Amino acid sequence: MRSLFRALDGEGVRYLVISGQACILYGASQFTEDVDLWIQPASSNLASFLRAMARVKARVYKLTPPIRMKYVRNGHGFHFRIWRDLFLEVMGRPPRVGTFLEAFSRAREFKTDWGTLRVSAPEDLVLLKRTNRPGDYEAISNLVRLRVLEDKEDLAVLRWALLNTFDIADLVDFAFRAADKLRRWPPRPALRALLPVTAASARLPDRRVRRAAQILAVEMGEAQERGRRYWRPIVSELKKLQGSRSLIPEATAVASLLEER
Amino acid sequence: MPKRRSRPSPLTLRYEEPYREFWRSLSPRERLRRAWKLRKRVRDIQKLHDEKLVPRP
Repeated sequence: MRSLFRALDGEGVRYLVISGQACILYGASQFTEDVDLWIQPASSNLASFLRAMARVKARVYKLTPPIRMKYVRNGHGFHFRIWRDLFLEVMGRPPRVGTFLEAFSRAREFKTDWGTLRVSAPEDLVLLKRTNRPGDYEAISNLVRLRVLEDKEDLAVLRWALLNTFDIADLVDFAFRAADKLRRWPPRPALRALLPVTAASARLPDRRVRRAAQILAVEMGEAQERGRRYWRPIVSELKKLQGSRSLIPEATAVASLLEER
Repeated sequence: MPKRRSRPSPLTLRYEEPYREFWRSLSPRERLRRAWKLRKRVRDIQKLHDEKLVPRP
């Protein structure tokens, strides 16, 4: 792994570690099977990235469109296999987040055995994790909880937490922490169902908590559905490319793609 | 004046669970080490990856 990140740094690739590995570094997850990177969507950076992949003898893995800016801009993921069992997914324009440069400026650095890694901030990770996979919502809530623990007194963080957790116990807890401190409650239907909450309230009626939990479940389902909808045009383009035999054949060495460029 | 009941924080409750508390206490470097040690124990990492890459309809 160290040589992968050395190759990226050696070629000057602008990247961020996202998804599962990022969640592990923050303490929000314990396992993931692959490595996901968000690279700056610029043709010079894409060329640097491909040189780095060639350095580690990466091969293209399944469902990878031609590695060109057009497909980067269209939101495709590019899949690579390095050595025997390292799977790397790379995107230049991942869903639901702002620009790479904004995320890059918010990113945090972690010192690891793989070198110093630049990792997407929790604020971006929670948006990236709003996928169609139910398991990702536990990671989101863990990220939110850990972020609140980092800055317990920061009202902006608390407001963000109220908008982003999918855990009913945390939503209740954050609401009590925020009570009488926030000028206005953030607009979220699940939170609205809990109100009124004041610092003097000892307990909330069970029916309000149950209702908020139901709404959270609905919100999660809607986010998953939006996640599925987001991928439809991209999957459709992939199918067209597959039909016209335009996907890069699996096991193609990245070095050979560089020679063609 | 009625005495206010103390309400235990779910945050505290959550991390009373020993393993989570332990995981959180580790450094990011150590968490990454342990996650990859766990990954090495998975028999078929490619199968696991493919299930995510190409989910069943």
